Amino acid sequence: MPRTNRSGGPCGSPRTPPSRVDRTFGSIASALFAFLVIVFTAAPAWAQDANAGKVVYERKCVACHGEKGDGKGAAAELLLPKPRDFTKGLFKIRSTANKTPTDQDLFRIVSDGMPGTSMPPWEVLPERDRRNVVAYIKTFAPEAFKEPPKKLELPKEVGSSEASIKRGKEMFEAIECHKCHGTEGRADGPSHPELKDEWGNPVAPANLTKRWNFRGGRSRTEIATRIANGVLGTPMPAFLEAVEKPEDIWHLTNYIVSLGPDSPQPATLVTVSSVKDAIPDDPAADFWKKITPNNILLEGQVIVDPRNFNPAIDLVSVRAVYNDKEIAFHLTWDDPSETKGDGKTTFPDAISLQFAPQQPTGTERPYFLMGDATDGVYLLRWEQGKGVSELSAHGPTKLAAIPGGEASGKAVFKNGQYALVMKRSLAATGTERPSFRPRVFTPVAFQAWEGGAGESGPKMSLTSWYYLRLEEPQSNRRFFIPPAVALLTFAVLGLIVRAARSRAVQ
Amino acid sequence: MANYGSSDHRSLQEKTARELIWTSNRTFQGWTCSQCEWNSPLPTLLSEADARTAYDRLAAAKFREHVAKGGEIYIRNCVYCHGDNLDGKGHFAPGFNPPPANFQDPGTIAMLQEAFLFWRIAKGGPGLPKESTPWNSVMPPWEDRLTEEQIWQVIMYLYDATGQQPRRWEASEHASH
Repeated sequence: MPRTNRSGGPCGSPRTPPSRVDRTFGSIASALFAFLVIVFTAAPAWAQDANAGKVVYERKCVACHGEKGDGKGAAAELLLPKPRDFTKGLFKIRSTANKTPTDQDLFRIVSDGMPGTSMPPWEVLPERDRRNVVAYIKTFAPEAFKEPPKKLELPKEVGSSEASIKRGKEMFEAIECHKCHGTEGRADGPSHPELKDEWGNPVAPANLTKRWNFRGGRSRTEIATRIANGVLGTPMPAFLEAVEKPEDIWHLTNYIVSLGPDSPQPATLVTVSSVKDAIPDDPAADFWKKITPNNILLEGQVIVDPRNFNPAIDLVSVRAVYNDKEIAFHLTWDDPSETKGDGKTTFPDAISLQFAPQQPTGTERPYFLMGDATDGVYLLRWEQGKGVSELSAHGPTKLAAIPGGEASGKAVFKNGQYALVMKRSLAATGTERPSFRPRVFTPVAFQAWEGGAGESGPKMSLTSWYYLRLEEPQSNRRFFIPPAVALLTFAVLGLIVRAARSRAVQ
Repeated sequence: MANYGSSDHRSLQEKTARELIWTSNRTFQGWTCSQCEWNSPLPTLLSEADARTAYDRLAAAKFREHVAKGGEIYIRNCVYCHGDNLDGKGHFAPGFNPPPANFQDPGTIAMLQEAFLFWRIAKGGPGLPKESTPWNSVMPPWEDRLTEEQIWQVIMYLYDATGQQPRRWEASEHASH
């Protein structure tokens, strides 16, 4: 066998004249070298970034967005909103006047994530990785990036003022924002159930009172930009041309910012205020406006079937008071529709407060998910169409009414929000119903059901155990004791001075 | 229960993968020892060195497969609390106290053995001992939903994705000397 046949490389004997194979290898090597030189010097910068980005994408993004970038990753079926399908080249959040986002727009979403969705902030990755991922994402729909991004020129900023907010509210109705977002912005507009995105998936309008969930960010500039150029791929159109005057974009922004707080300000403890007067049943009474709300965040129940990965109710505001006879809970929560339910796909809206049946003496409490077979829980529950009732539960499906329950209450539904008052006597008899005492840390948990979204039974949103604390009743002693102490001090001083003087005289 | 008892239809790859995992990590104690035993399944015409290489390759491939499966289980079940980046910042995290474990933190899975993780995942919040209440963990008992093998796959994924190493007896003994 001729030697040259296997000397495919430079390791062949130096005395052997270069064979045909060697020459071929040489020319291939030099061609390859030239090619590499071209690739690494002349190719557009994103080409090499995209290759590095692919590695990051396949490690971090593929589970939701899919190998092909079509949004069909392993987790996709459980998520709502669905992961973005990059192959259409439609991107929700842009700072541009046309459909093409800038690299910076994509980079910002990768870095900051999309609040209220399953897209987390990827700031944990090195900036270079994030930039490379952006380059790779663009390769799924190269057509979409042919047209260069055109910068959106926002009208001159108008600061917030009463007049501006008023004008914003007028515009809000004039350009029919309320049709989707609802009269008070709680995502309860008449067309909210029919909304679909470009892919045919149901899409909920933004709840404008919960700015912390805005997909593209909660800053004024971000909000103005969303109004001006819309949210691509969703039914949210661009309004820059639709408003009467360009600065109306800012009036609308100011109005939206006025609708709710910047963050949910979650409570860690539920404080029950002590009151002297009778507690009103009406949730709309002025009485309740003076009580500080405790905001409680609720999450999906994913322990028992059916699991609820996308809970509809994420926040309940709790105002609680007690007097010498009663304890009352005033709850408000957003729900886009008041639902009694057909029992098949929709169910009655409901909410419940959970307590241990007796105030626990130690630190042990029943299982937070409505107790278990051995240790049950007490529920103070309101249900649409049924009203308030007292229940005993031994697990999420084992509920039984407590005979002789005497809780009462009233609910009002208005503009996508429930307001409910539930009342009960402070003291209770029997082993299934707890009594409430001041100064004691009482475990409490919450559960809520949006029947219109098919929530019922274990399909709910819930919390783990929180603590409830009844404030000490304020006594009148604070008006008497300090003045009495002051008087006594003066009297003693007077006596000392008198004694000193009489001695001086002698 | 996953059917670990039957060994008749186990392939060479599975055996070799388990062997690798056992020898490298030593602490997959949830697996019964009959599966850990070396029962020389390799063809005799290969030299021992060649056999080792072939065996390592197969085992490594199988390991990647387990990790990939673990990743899929994680993203469909665990991500809601423990987060995409395994840092305990999932979408449900803000609502629960104590917050979900942050696996990136060297004070969590790196301080534990795989066997502990297996128990903690399988039994969840309700399985925690009564002596140390008040537990307020909302961790579901995953034995209701995942098989034994799936739990091990998730554990492999947790260590692989975070780059953490399970705590080992030798290391702790060494430290105490």
